[in-house]
Amino acid sequence: MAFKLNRDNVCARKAWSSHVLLDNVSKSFDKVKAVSGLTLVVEKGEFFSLLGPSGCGKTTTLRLIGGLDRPDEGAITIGNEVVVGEGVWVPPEKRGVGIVFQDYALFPHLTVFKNIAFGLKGCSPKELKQKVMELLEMVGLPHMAHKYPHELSGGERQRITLARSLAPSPKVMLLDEPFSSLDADLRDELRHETKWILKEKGTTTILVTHEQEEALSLSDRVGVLNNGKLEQVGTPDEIYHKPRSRFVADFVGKADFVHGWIEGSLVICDLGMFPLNGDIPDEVRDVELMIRTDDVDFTVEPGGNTVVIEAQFLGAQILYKLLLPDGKAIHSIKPSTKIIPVGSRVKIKVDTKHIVVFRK
Amino acid sequence: MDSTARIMRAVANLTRSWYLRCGHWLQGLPVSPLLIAAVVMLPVGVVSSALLTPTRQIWIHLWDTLLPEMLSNTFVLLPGVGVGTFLLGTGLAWLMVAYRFPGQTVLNWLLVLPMAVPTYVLGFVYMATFDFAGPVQSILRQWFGQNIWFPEIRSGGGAILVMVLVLYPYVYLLAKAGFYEQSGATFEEVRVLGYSRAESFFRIALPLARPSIVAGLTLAMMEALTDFATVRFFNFPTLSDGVIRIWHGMMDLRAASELSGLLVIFVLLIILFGRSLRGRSRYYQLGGKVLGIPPVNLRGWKRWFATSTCSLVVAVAFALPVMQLFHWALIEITRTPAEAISVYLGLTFNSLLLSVLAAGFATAIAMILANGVRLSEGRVARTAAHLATMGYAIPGAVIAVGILVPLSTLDHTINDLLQSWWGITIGLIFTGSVVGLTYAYVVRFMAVAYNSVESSLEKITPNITMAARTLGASPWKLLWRIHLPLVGPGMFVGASLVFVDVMKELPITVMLRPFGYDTLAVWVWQMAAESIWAGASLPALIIVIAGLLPVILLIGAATPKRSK
Ligand SMILES: Nc1ncnc2c1ncn2[C@@H]1O[C@H](COP(=O)(O)OP(=O)(O)O)[C@@H](O)[C@H]1O
Ligand SMILES: [Mg+2]
Repeated sequence: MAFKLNRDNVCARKAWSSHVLLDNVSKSFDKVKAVSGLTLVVEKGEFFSLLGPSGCGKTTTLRLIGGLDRPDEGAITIGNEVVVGEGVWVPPEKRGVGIVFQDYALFPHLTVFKNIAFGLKGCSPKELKQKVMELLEMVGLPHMAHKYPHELSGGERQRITLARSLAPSPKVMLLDEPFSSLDADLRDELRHETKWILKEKGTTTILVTHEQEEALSLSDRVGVLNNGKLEQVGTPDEIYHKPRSRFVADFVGKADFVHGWIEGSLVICDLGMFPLNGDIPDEVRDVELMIRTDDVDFTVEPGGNTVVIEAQFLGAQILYKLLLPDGKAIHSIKPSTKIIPVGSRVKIKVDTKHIVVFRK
Repeated sequence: MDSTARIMRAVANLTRSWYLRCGHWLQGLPVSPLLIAAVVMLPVGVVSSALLTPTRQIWIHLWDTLLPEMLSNTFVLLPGVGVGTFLLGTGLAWLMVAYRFPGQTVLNWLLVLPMAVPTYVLGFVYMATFDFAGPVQSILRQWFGQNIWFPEIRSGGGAILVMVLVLYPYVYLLAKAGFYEQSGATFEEVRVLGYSRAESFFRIALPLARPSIVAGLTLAMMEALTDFATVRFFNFPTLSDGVIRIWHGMMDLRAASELSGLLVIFVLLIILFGRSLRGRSRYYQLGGKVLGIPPVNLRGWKRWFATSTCSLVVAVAFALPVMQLFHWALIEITRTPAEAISVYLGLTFNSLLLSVLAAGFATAIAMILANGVRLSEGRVARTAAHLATMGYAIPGAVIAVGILVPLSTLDHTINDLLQSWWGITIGLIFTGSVVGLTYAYVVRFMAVAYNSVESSLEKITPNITMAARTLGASPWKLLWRIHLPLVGPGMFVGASLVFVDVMKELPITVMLRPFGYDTLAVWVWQMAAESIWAGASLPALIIVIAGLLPVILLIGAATPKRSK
């Protein structure tokens, strides 16, 4: 059920707005297929995320775009220029691409100022100083110019790395899990700061991450990678509510899967009957329904056939585990303003708008 | 025009496919590390194979002459130096780490200085001072009459004393590091359990520092094994001395290499000793801040006792001998006519030339090796690097013999061929030339260069290179602005360490030098052997001063900063 763009379609879109285009790109290391048959269009000024579990080929994809590795097959276009494929090879220093690495890779022997100035070419010393100071202001660290990387905290390093890669004004910015080594508070702040800096500059950005929350909250569109293949591309809303595959449904957001079957235009399961929306081939009868925890609601009713067996306090919300009459369990998330005690008998209501059906 | 282009393209394609196929074929085989390891291990292989194919007459002859004495001396020297450096090094280290007393910060690094003095230099100074004709015995005779008893300095005891005084800093430095790395919490826990400070030392601190201490002991014993000059001064010939005597006395390369093979067995014994003492466990306390053992202030007479003990060691192992050298050197300079001073300039030049050559080659090869290991990231490459850096454990005399054998074979082959083809004789090209010397130095000191280069190369993560490239750096800019500044200091440190080691190195130089080619070290040895102390003093002083350079570097690197 992998997402597939056909080539004509890709080329048609390329003509008007595409900025980074991967056409059927593959890369193997020894026996491992790190990336296979990846086709992807990222539009100009877009903030795009590649989301997937560790080892699914995210870093490899970024390295291919940046020119740090060569694909075994396929082509990559940046702007209007083919950078690799069809016998063409543009080295990384000529691609106009900025990269923020997972480990930052600041130059340890250069000051913050010289790190940022490294990529600025052909400026007079005065211009250079002005540009570097502008960048430092932008990332909110104007007084750090003369420190060395080892004197900075994790968050400061991340900001300086961003400033350094923005210095040559790249057309495309690649971010490889840049926030993963920061603590929670700082991470949230930096994510949004980074996004707005890049949006303001109009830089096309590809962020790589294994945290769905990060991808969903920052991106215009998200691509979900699994085993080197693109499972689905869509807006955060589409990815969350209309997963195209069981993998995406599992990986993004919290959901329960219940067994059901199809009767005409209805799906039937232990929770009731729902109208079938979407296209399921005729011959399929046994299906699996994905139900998001936030689509399950319940009310306390002494005669209800469902029991609250666990309540996990998450701060603003509470995650309940409910025992259905047939012995299966399902989760539901509700605001923590009202607490329903464990052991209560309740009645379930499921919001059918977002139920997704997968063939078994 | 068109056809030329087509041919060019065909050739290009052919080269490419050939390169790809070969690349594929060689893939996973780290070529340069393996090659370097093979070249470096060749001398050891030569002597080991000589031992495996012993010649009966040689061993019978050896057994009838030198061998029993050399064997028993070696068996006395190694444990003697081991126990001595252990007691002195570990004791001083514990004093420094666990207590506070006056003058400590200065003494802390003064105690490392004896490392700058080669054993043969301290050896001849002690011999000159304490010998029958020396100042100490003369004065004693003046005061107490002719029959006053004095221990014989030219003995095993004398040799061991001198070596312990020069080699204890290895144990001292490593033991200190071992003590510093311990968590103060463990130590205090034991005290809370009701043990005194002294008991805690034996129960906790010493066992935890054991791996470091043993590493220091191993290094000290290897140094003792490679020495031949000191033991010869002190009439206590060991196996190293035997190899050189056989080569110089009988020019018998076969006998020299079989005896060298026996020395390799001693090296293995030292390594085994280290392994077994270090035990199977790796005592690393992970996590948490290393606060170190909390030091206590010494009070009363103990304060001054600690200060004077440390001062005494510095005095007898470094300060007094160096002052004595200065004294002799002054005499020598004032009484030598100006034109005779040029002898010393020549010696210095020869030493500098060899040191620079060896330092340059060793560092360059270490760089290639480290790069190869980094690129392949495989087990094979790492093993190759281990083998290529084994030389520091092999006595200089063994390496020299191991190089003489293949080089003289090569020379004779070349000569025979030229003789039979054109009837000319060109003499020996490689044997007894700077080529052989440099080869031997590189083999012996590869580890020194490699460790420095490798640790600095670690600073360049692949992403640093990539970051610079995506920022638009050309290969030149990458090399000049990123790679060289990052590795340069490490290469420089490695090169200067090798430089000084070569300057001090005696056995290899004595065995492989071109005929009549004298260096500072060789001159010291020859003069001291003739009891011409003043003549030996000036070059000895130059060597000691050069030797201070790495010691100062070491002090900087080995002094752990206590977290506040
Ligand atoms: N240089 C390499 N050599 C061998 N295998 C590699 C290399 N780089 C990546 N891989 C393999 O390719 C797969 C994808 O890796 P990567 O792109 O780094 O994943 P991610 O960044 O999503 O965690 C993994 O199985 C990894 O082991
Ligand atoms: Mg990664």
